[in-house]
Amino acid sequence: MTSDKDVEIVKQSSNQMFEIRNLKVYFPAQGGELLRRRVVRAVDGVSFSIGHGEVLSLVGESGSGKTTIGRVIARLTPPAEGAILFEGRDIASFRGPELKAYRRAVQMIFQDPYESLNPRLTVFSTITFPMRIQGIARDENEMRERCIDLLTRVGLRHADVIDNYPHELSGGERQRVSIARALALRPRFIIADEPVSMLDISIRSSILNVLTELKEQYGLTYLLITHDLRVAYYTSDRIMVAYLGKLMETASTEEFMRHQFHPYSRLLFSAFADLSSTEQQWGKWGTTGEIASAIDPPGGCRFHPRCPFRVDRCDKEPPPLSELAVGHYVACFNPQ
Amino acid sequence: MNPALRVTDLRVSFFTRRGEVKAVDGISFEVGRGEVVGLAGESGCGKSTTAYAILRLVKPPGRIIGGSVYCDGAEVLDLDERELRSFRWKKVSMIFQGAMNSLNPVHRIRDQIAEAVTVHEHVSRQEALARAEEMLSLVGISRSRTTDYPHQFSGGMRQRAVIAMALALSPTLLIADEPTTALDVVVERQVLELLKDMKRRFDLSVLFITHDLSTLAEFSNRIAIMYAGKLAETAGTKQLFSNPLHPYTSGLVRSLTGLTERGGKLWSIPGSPPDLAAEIEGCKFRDRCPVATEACSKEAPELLEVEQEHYVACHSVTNG
Repeated sequence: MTSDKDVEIVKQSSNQMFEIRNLKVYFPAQGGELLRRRVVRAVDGVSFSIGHGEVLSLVGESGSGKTTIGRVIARLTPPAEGAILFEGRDIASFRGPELKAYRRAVQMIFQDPYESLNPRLTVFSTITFPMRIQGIARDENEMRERCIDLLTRVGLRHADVIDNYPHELSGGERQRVSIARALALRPRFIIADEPVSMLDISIRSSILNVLTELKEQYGLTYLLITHDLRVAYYTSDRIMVAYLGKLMETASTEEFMRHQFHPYSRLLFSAFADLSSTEQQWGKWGTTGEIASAIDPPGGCRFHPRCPFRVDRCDKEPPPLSELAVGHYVACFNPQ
Repeated sequence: MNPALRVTDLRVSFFTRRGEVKAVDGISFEVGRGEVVGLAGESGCGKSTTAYAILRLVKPPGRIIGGSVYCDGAEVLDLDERELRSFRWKKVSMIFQGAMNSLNPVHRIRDQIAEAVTVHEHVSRQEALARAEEMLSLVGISRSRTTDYPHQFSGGMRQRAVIAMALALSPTLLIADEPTTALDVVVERQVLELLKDMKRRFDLSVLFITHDLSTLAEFSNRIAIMYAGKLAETAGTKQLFSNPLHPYTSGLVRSLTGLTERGGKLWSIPGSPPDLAAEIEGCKFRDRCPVATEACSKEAPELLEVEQEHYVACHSVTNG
């Protein structure tokens, strides 16, 4: 069930690349009783849009459904309900050449550069593999040229790495190679799922710089999936907070950093403000427990069992997203 | 008063087919009584190997090849097997990286902690179980859950159980190796608060090993920065964040605070750490260093005190 409010948000801006409408994704739960198959409600009614050229950060803890949302948009996981419109057309309807074009336009960068590269392929083969599949740049020379150009753009000296295997590269170099691979087909939209969380701090910022530079050079649009508010803050135009398969809050990055209405956003924010925060700020959050299971998620607001600001309604009905300031949407009955 | 731990010129090497890898290359530091010292550095810098060496847990092809580890009145490197058994857990206990995922899946949480107690102390099973219950309640696990199996616990609860186990024998020194790394931000914060609380309650000395400087900002009294098997800098926590002197440390601090200032390019340290199997003359950071001079490729800088309680191993700092 989509509330009218959600649809309104989706419609309000016209220059959209994506419209996600009431997306639901369920997975069968492992174990449990034989005749009572339970489901994991990984994503449970999520609507939002992504504008052309926008960098949108989807922030949440593990179990929030953020990775699943990314995978559904990449058409790697089918939704149980809802639709994803890419420039006005439902991606579920894409077949044949249309699907191929979509796969070209939308690329993913994964979290773990140790897992996401094929250990048996050299850097050259890794980067040119998608070109071969898509049948572009058939000529070996052109491929090499393109590959060298891509490696340069992601900040690698091609002569050093082009014939190497992944195990010969450092973590940061591997992640640069995965970025180059994602760029090989000149995509328009990139889903980056925790692109720096496996990397050492000294390397993290250089990868974020590369992503930001490439966005300018190619006019890309990003969905950046992260648990790290600092990463979201640095890279994105807009921040969206997810919790247990629902959206809690969304606002422009500056607006979000200035004020978080949703108690959960507050909690995330204070967990991160570690360099400057004081004990008092954190104090009231000390005993708020952990994210619940998505198998039997709490009724009403998903966050209510942990929320120090909950009111009577919170365990009865899910709060709809409402606009509390311009472009600032919050799903909470007792916004702070 | 004696420090809880004094490590002097510790050296650990791994003897591999590619040659000797000097994982820990002559490091010295202390953890005072009741003090929390953070040992921070990137993956591969030797910080976990240092912890393993302190507990004499380095396994072949690795070997402790020199130095001294003095703890609670004893030279750890001279202990025999029997003495080692009473030293580990009782004097120094360790929260291993990923320990929350290595709890035995077929035993109840309470029983696992009780077993750790009976192995090291001559107490009855009844007493051991009571101790386990008490520790679990201290770390915030309710009595009704102590007979659960690990899979019934969330990640944060498992990490609490691991902390309870590490403290069950009231050690003097706790070594915590990346105790919050696999946890979500909010749970990470809760576990850090728990460790702070346990530190106060038991008057623990703590060696806190992490790749994430920001977790140390509030928790540690002092920080030692490790790079490629050596200490680059040690200083009080405030001092280290406000006046980092080693170019590597200032790079780390800048790339950290860079994420709290928006706009413009993020600061980052170019390159990646050196291959430790190769013989490196001079300073191991020089290839990534913005202020390296000729002196840096000739001689390895020593860790010298440049102001009170602030030690730096860098030619450009110590030579003016």
